[in-house]
Amino acid sequence: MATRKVDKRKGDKRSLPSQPGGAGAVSRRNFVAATAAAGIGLGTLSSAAFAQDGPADSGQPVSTGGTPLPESQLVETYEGPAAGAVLAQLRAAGVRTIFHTNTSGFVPFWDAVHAAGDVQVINVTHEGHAVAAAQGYTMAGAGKNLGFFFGSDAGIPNSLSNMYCAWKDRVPLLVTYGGGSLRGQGADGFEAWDDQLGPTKPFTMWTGYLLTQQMSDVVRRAINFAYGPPSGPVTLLWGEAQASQQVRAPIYQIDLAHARRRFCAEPALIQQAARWLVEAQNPVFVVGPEITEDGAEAEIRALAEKLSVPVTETKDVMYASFPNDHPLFLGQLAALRRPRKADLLVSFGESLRRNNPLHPVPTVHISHDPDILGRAYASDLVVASDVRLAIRDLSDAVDGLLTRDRMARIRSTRLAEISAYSTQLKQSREMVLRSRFDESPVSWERLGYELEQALDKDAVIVPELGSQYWKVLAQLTFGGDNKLKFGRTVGSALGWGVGAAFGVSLALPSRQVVSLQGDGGFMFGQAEALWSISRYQAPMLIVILNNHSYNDSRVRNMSNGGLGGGLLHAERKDYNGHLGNPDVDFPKIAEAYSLRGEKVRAAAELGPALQRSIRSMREGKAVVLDVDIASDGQPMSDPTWYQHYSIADIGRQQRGGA
Amino acid sequence: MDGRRRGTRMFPVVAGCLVVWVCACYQQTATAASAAAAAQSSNDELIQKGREAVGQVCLGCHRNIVPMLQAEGRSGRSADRWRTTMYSMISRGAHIMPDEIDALVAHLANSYGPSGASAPAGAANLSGPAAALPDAAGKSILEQSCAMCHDLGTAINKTAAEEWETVVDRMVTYGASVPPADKEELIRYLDELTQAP
Repeated sequence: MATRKVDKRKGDKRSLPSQPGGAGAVSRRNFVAATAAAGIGLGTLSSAAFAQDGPADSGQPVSTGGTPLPESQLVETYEGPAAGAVLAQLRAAGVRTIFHTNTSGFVPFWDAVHAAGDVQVINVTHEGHAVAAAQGYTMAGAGKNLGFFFGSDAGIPNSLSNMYCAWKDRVPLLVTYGGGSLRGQGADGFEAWDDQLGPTKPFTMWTGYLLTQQMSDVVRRAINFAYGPPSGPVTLLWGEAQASQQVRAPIYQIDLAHARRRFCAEPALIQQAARWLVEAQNPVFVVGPEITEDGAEAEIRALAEKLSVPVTETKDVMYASFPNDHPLFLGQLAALRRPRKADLLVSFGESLRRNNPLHPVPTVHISHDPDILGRAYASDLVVASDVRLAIRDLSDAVDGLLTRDRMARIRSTRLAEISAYSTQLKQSREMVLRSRFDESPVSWERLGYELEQALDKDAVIVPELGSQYWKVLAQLTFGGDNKLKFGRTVGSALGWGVGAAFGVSLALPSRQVVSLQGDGGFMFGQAEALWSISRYQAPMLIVILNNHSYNDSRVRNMSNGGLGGGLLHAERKDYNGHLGNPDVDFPKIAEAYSLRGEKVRAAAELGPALQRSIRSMREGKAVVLDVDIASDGQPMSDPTWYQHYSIADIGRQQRGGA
Repeated sequence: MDGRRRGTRMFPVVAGCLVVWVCACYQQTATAASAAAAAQSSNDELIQKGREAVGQVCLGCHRNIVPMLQAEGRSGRSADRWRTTMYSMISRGAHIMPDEIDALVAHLANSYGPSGASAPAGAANLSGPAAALPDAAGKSILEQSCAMCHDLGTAINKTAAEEWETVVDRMVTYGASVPPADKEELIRYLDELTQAP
């Protein structure tokens, strides 16, 4: 980026400040005004702070004749090694925890970390788990955490799977890699390829290069891109920067809680939505992740209760955005009975990426993400807004359209009907739980029941399970003062959950954090995440729901085979499902990482095993609980068949039996 | 009194007992038949209730419900297995009420169980007048899209030809699965059915 010295004689506001180390000191007022004129925003600084009138370098505060304008909020001008400017900018954004996987090219950065004395480095033994941990840490931070990772450029491929998950989940992350200099372009050098960030581009909001003289600017810009909206990962390369070179860099104060730009809806759109809501006989709400991301849990509950509107969610629900024990909560949107009585659907921050199960019911789509609106589904009314602000505006608009009496009548009539309905659904679930209560292997419902009995009321669940996982979750109480939930990642790439749960535990050290894994999902390389869990004494519970099978895939293969009359289906075989032989000893894996491991084979063992696990968690030691779980789903194939093949046998044959 | 007079006096008593016994047997048989008929009627009502419930609770998540059920039927699922499936669906979030479970099991076991393993789509709905529906383009769409919720034998008699498009559109808003590409063909078929002598 070309720069010119500020011409103080002409009060030139169009130029950037002189290069660090150039002639003359750079005043705060001059710098702020010049960057504002060049169109560079400074985070939380208000526009009033940019002096557009008067000489840029007068050194005097600009006065409107009334209240003096606020001083610039530039924290400091950093002087030192370039790598230190990165850390200084991160610390100015409140970042005190950073994630790392084995590297050897970051000495100046390590020096800065050591000198700062207040930054915790979390080492994770695989880049993929580090990115998942960074994501969990960010998601559980209520807007105050930003996952920052640094590792080797050779680790870019390792990080991609969980970067895809973070991108799909719209979670802001800063993922940086050493190496990647343009000096080696075209040479196919050591650990190098051209356009090294190229593979990350589909899963990022921006990719960039840290530059020696712009380290803090690039970081600030990266944070800007990461939060958007839309939000998501940003990847940066360190390779172009001379990390040990002495620099002067501006460090900007960044309030992460307000880093995502918030905006209100057009009033006319809110009024239209309010009119439809008031006129609808049977409106339905669907809540998505933006409820939690925008801190709108209390607001959506109040609005739903105002008119007793039933609330649903979709399969892509990542957070506990609405209390699932509330009488207005009806579970899955797609499960609503037919004939459909709903005559209006309002989506609050739900993407509708799986389409709209209530089509062609008139639909209002409210989201803070312009990328999502109207993308998967053409809604009738599209409202771009911070969801919390939209709910407040909508609620006020409804108040303006209805008298209190009428509102009370609507509320009480609907509440009676919906409560009766949701009570019956709960009775059905209770009936199912009781019918399978003592089954062994343990039923999914029993596992959920025992977790609900044993865990703290405000425990945190991080699930990475297949299609049966609703059976567990339906037995747990989420939302409000009850449990939190993070996951399952919408990306659905297995190998996310344990690392993400570790990141959640980092963010919420005083709460019980429980990772729910299938045996198949755990074996997507997740054992390595136990190293960090052990090293940093994360007092977690990892429950492995073990049906010795990739059961979801087996069921889908058999169902599709049944529909198409496939050969394998007719023979009741599938090549993919059975994971036994070997039957993996997960408790031993836990012990290999100095954690506690325990096996549960029967329903009666589960309660006591959970109590022992919780005692261990309170003592600071994580537990892996391996639970033999029922093989639910279509029993169309032999669950233990697999295609036998022995390399050893073949080798013996080839050696003539020796 | 000699033996012949004693026998003559006993005959009415014995005859009367015989009549009473025959009447009692008849009444018992009639009662049993009546009970069986009542049970059959009750079972038919249960199956009918279950058939309606399938359309109400399954279509939301299972657009391919008909071929799915047919595939299940080929394996001849017992009532116990169907109950297990219903419990699984409840746990996974299906809106099945407690008093619907038995009805669903009864219908599914009847239509897609060991005895109904070869039943075509919505077989329970294609008896009587519905069995005489002509084979023409649109019939399979009718069976797949409508038979889940409606007794086709009576439903098709209710609507004038010119109203079918409105009806089909309304059914779609209720949640009927009618692919847009099939809608015209379905309406044409219904129109022809209604206008047929």
